[in-house]
Parts: sequence; structure tokens; C-alpha cells
Amino acid sequence: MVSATYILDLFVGSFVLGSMYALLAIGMSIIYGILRLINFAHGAMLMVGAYFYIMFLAMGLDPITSLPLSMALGAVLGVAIDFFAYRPLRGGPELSMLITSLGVYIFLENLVRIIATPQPRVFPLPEFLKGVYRYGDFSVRVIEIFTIISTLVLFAALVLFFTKTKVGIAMRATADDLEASVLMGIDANRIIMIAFALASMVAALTGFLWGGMYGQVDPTTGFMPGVKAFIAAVVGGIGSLTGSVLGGYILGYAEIYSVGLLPPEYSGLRDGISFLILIIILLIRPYGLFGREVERV
Amino acid sequence: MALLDVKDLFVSYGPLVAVQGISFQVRKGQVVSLLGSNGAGKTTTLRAISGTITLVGGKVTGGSISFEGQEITKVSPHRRVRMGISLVPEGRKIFHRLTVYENLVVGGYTVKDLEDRLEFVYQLFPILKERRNQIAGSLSGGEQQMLAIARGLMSNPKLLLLDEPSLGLAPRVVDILYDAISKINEERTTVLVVEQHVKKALTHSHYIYVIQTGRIIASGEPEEVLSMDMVKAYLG
Amino acid sequence: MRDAKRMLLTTLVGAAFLLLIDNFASGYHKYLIELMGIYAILTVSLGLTNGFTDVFSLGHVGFMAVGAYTAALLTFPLEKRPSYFPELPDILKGAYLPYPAALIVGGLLAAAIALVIGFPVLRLRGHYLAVATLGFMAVVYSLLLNLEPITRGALGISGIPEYTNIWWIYLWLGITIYVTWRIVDSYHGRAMIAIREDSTAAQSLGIDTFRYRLMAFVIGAFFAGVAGGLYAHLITLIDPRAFSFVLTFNVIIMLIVGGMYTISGAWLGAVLFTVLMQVLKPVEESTGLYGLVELIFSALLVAIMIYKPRGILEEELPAVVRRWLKAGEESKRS
Repeated sequence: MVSATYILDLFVGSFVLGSMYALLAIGMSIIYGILRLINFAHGAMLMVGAYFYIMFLAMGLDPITSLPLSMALGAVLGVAIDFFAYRPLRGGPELSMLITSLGVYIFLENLVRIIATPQPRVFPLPEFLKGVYRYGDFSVRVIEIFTIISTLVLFAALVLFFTKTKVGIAMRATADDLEASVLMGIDANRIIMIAFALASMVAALTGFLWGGMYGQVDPTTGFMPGVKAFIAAVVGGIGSLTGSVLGGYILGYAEIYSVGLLPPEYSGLRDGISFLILIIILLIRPYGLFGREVERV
Repeated sequence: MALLDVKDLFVSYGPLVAVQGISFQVRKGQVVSLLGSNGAGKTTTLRAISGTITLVGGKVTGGSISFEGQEITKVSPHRRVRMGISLVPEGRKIFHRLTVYENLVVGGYTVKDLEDRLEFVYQLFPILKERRNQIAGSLSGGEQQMLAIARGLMSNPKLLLLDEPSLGLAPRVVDILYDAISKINEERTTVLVVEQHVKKALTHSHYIYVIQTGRIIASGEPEEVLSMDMVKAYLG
Repeated sequence: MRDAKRMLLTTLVGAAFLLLIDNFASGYHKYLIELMGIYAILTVSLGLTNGFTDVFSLGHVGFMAVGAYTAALLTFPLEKRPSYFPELPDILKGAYLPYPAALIVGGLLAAAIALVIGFPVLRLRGHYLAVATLGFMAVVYSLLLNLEPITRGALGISGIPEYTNIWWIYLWLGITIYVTWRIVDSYHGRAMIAIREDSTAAQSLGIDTFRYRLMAFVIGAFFAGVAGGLYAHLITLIDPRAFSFVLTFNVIIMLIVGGMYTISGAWLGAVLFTVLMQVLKPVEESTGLYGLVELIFSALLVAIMIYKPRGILEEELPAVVRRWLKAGEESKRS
């Protein structure tokens, strides 16, 4: 029997999942916008970020310090990956970076597997995010509220960054036309570095939220969220910030509701449903719901 | 000493040699025109000066380019902007998805005092001030060219390079643009224009070079050049 | 005529080798060489799609899975079906085909699916196409897990008759290479290479790029399907995990490291991969560093992309050998 509370639960669940997809999709979108690279390795940054957090805790730091530190380290890693793997390929065929990013994903996953063993790790949530609010039958976890709010705050902050700051506007200009932006005295490599730092930082935060929501992480944790985020970004219109966020929510809602309302034996089709949405969207609107044609010949 | 001194410049795209040993100078405070028909190597020359030639798969294979006495062929393109070279590319290439104002902000990426520069370009092209919150892609062709020039001026360049500014524009708009170019020049900015549109270039330049298939075939002051028979034949 | 002679010679030499391996190699080594052959069919056929046109598909393993399950179901002993697949749809209850026919039907079904999804998906460009084909792979994976009456879900199908042997595999590898070579070496093949090198140029030459993309995609899918059938009847046990992203990635590594733009490169990649795997697996197991093999492979992939983006073999092996011989002669003379 489908009750009102159940629908409400699904609503919150979708909002939370959608938020995490949206955060990852933002990062993919920023990088795609400038480099035309679909960064398969982005999902691994989520997983690595969660491990960084656990590592800092294990070093005896408190959660309030560990989270920003893990985000900072994530940013450094993102920049390093760009420097060693993608930068040598600039100006080459567009697919070589895509293939390389597949390689980078596998590299990171297995590096963590070797260093931290393949076994799942318990993800310790800080005390202040552990609570649960109850209203009759309906309950919501503090981490869920935290996830939703931090996504919305971050989105607002990024919108301000991209429309009000010189560097933010320059990043959009670079995404619009790289050659012209160089003519304005913009150092494209520096802009790309900032893009990777930003995207990886947000991915590390998503790793924290993901770990907190599901209580554990393992080296493969990042794969599916990464792929989903990338679907979300394409569905919303890759390259568009708002589009990516909406794409994330659309995907979150579609997944949770289709699984929640379909008979239980179909719940395994969840991943298939995301891709079905992707393929349908690509066919009706090849550049996503909010995207404009970005490929120019 | 010339502000810009191009000596024996060779530029190639892979096996294709687009510029074959051209030399010319641009003196401080002048407006200089490079004239020539399509495919003569004009755009390639400007790209070599701005350094963006590498972004389109080309390469300077010989000769030198000096700016204020300093050899710049090895300087990265974004640094050349800081040195005072600004190129307004062919086909305008404004940032279509940004607003007019944002285009100008990006144009002034290298300068501290944006307000000052904004005031200068708004005075030059008042229409841009009116349209400042409009998305640049929605402007008319003439307005886009004005924006492209204004954006190029935001970095307060010593040398402004203009690639076919009159291309595809109505005569009335071309007049406005060339009046603006004269005004820019009065403000002590040196200008190097590449043109197919001979008449405008002749009346607004101090000195003229004519390029054909990657070589300079004639040079001199406008009247001088115009009187040469071969130039008449070539430029029509 | 020269080609025919050379082919006959190659076939005879190949057959002699296989005869030796079949009779003298240990079971384990034989198994490795069989696996290598299946990988080679996958890479050569993926090379037809990804190397000779500008399509970059990540869905190849999806087609392999279709072929594997189809062939396995068709040869599955009729009398065991009711107990093994209690909910099998009626039409499949009595559908039986001998092994060679089942392989072909598996390939044809994969090709038919490729045709259907190719129409929409191949109109997409570069990145979008890669994602959409990855999506196809994920949908196949999801269906294998969930269509329990036919696939038995996560349990997979075991007890598939062990019909595949070294001869079947290398026969099909031969066919794959021959067909690919004929395509590449034909007027059509040159058209496809034109597409790969410059899509717009090909269009302005009046080449119907879509038709060639689709053709390469469908033929590639057919051989992937056959490889799946061969694999199912070699391993005798298939489950969805065998056709996951890991295999997709491995096939791509083989193809790119070996050389995506040549047939010899594609199968060389498969050979190198199998050999390296055998060398590295024991290291991984003895050190307990699980993931080491993948780590090394992925680093290799990135290094190849940076330093030798066209792979180890940029031109076909016979041409390389001929050049070596020539260089040898010249150095002898001097």
C-alpha cells in the first residue's frame, strides 16, 4: 500500500540523491565546458575524497578540520591529474582525453584498492550530523538535510562566482571560445587548473556526503555515481551549471520514484532506467534539456 | 625605432607555407594597413604576431617578430596581451553566451582599473553602454564588431591588431568603425589593420603594405601605393 | 592471385601451429591461447567500429553478452531446461540449435540489436556516442540481472556444453580478420578511413558517413556476438559480472595499446594483454596487492595515449616486417 508518508520519504530520498548527483554533475560540466572532456575519472574523485576524510580522522584530526582538508587534497589531486594525464594531450583528437580519463579512473580505483584494501570501510559520521528528526511516521536524517542545504548553498555560491567575479566570468569566456579568451590575456592552462581544482573539491565534498548517507565506502564506490552524474549533466545540458543541477535532480527523482513505486522485483532495473532516460533525452534533445549546441565544427 | 618589427617571417601549417618571408614595420602612433586578397596570408600574419597561430595548428618557422625592441616569437600569447598587443580576430569571435558587459570585463582581464577602460569604450561606442546587459550573441553584426573592437581595447593595448573589421558589414557601419579607429589612434594607440576593403584602408592609414601569396609586393604611403600599376591591377 | 597464395600460406602455417598446440600444449596453456583468440576476435571487431570509423563505442561487451546468452540458451540440453529454467517462456522451451548455428544466431541477434540502436545512437557525435553506448552496455547488464526467467539473474547459467575448442576459436578469428581486412581494403574501407581522418571532408566528398558507421557498427556487433557464444561454450558458465565494465575496459586497453587503426595492432593487443596478465597475476597474488594488474594496465593506457597515441602498431604487421627486412639488407650491403 502506498501511503502519503511513503511518498514523502521518496520525495526526500530523491532530493538527497539528486543533490549528490547534481554536485558531481556540476564538476563534470565545468570541466566539459572548457576542455570538451567527459571526465570518467570524476567519479573516482568522490571515492578518493571520502578516503581522504577517513584518513584525516585516523590521523587524529576532528571532523571540522578533516572535511576542508580532504576537499583541499582532492583539489590538489585533481590539478595533478590534469597536469600529468590530460595536459600532454591538449590539442589532440577529442577522444584521446576521454580514453585517458577511463584509464585514470581505473588507476585511481586500483591505487586505493592497493593502499586501503578492497574491503569496505565504515564511514564515521560526525556527531552533529547523526541525529534524526521524527514527525509521526515521517522521519528525516540530519545528514539528509545537510546534504540538501549544502548543495543549494554551493550552487548559489558557484552561480555568484561565475557571474560576479572576474575569474569566474573568464572561465565562462574560455568555455565559450578558447582562442578568443587567450587573445584577452587569459592563461588557458591556469583556467583549466582552476576548473579541475573546483570540480575535484566539490567531488570530495560529495564523497563525504555519500559516505555519510550510506555509512561505508569501498574502492568501487565512485563508479556508478560518476556515470550517473555524467548522465545528469548530459540530460540537463552539459556545460550549463543550472542544467547540470536540474539534471541531477531529474535523475534522482526518476530513479527513486521508479524503484519506489514499481513492484520490488524490478528494483534491479534502476541503473538501466537512468540510461534509458539518457538515451531518450539524447534522441529528442541531443544537447540536453537546457544545453545549447556547444560543438562547433 | 618601430613599435613592431617583423623580419623575414615564415609561417606554416604543417607542409603548407602560408607566409613566405615577409618583413614590415609599424611605427608608434601610426595606422598601418596590410592589404591583400583572400588567402594572401594576412590573417596568418596577425595570428603569428598575437601568438595564437599555435592554437590553429600553425607554426612560425623562420624570421623574427620584435615588439618594442623585444623578440616575442617565443612569448606565450596571453603574455603578449600583457605586453600591450591586442588582436581583434576575424569574424569577431565575441563570447556569444556572455553579456556585452561580461565580454568587456573579460577583455579587461589583464588591467586593474576596469571602470576607466569601460568609460573609454562606452564613449567610443555608446550603443554598447545601452546594450550592456544584453547577451552578446543577440547583437547585430555591426554591434558585434563594435563589441569585438571595444573588448580588444579593454586591455589598454599599445598596438591594436584588427583583422578585416569591415567584413560583411553595411557601409554606414564601416564608416562608424573607421571613425572609431581614427579616434583610437588619436588616443595614441598604434593600429595595424588587415583589409580587403581597399578604399577605407587607404583613407585612414599612414602607411600601407600589399601582400600577395605570402609575400609583400608593394609598400609606401597611400597615394604612392595607389599610383603603382601592379597594385591597381592586383587590388582592382 | 598473390593475395590468395599468401592467404593459403598463412592459413596453413596457422593451422600447423594450432595442431602443435592442440596436441602438445598443457591444458592451461591451451586455455590461455583459446582465451587470447576470443579477445582477439573482440578487439579486431571493435577495431572495425572504433578504429576505422570515428565511432567510439563502449558497448561492445554488451553485444558479446547478447551473443553469449543467446548461444548458451540455444544449445542448452532440452531435457534439463524445465528444472533449470522453470519460468522459461514457451517459445524458448523447445528452441534448440546445433552449436555452429547457435553461434551464428547469437551473432545475428547482436547485429540486429546493433542495427536497431545504431539508427538513433550513431547520429550522435564523439562523446555523446561513447556515453550512449556505455548506456547500452549498462542496460544489457541490468537486463541480464533482472530477466531471471531467461538469464537466471545473478546466478548465471552454468552447465553449458563445452563445445568450443581451439579450432572453432581460431576459425572464427580467421573469419573476423578476413572480413575486416576485406572491408578495410575495399572502396568502402577507404571511405571509412576518410571519415575517421576528417568527418567534414568525407561529407563534402559526398560519402554517406552514417551508412558506413552503421555498417561498421553492425558487423562489429556480429563478431562480438559470436565471440560471446564461443566464450560461453568455452567457460561453460556465464553470469552478468563476466560482461561488466571491467571487460569493456580491458578490451579497450588491448585495442588501444596494440593499435586501434590496424588489424594486426588489434590482435597484437589481445596477445600482449593475455601474456602480461599471466606474468602479473602471480605477482599480484604473491604480494597481496590486489588491483596491481589493473593499476599497471591503466598506467600503460595513459602512457600510450600520451606518447604513442596510435598504439604499438601504426601500420599493418606485413608492412612493418617488410621494412625491417629491407633495412636489414641495406645495412648488410653497406
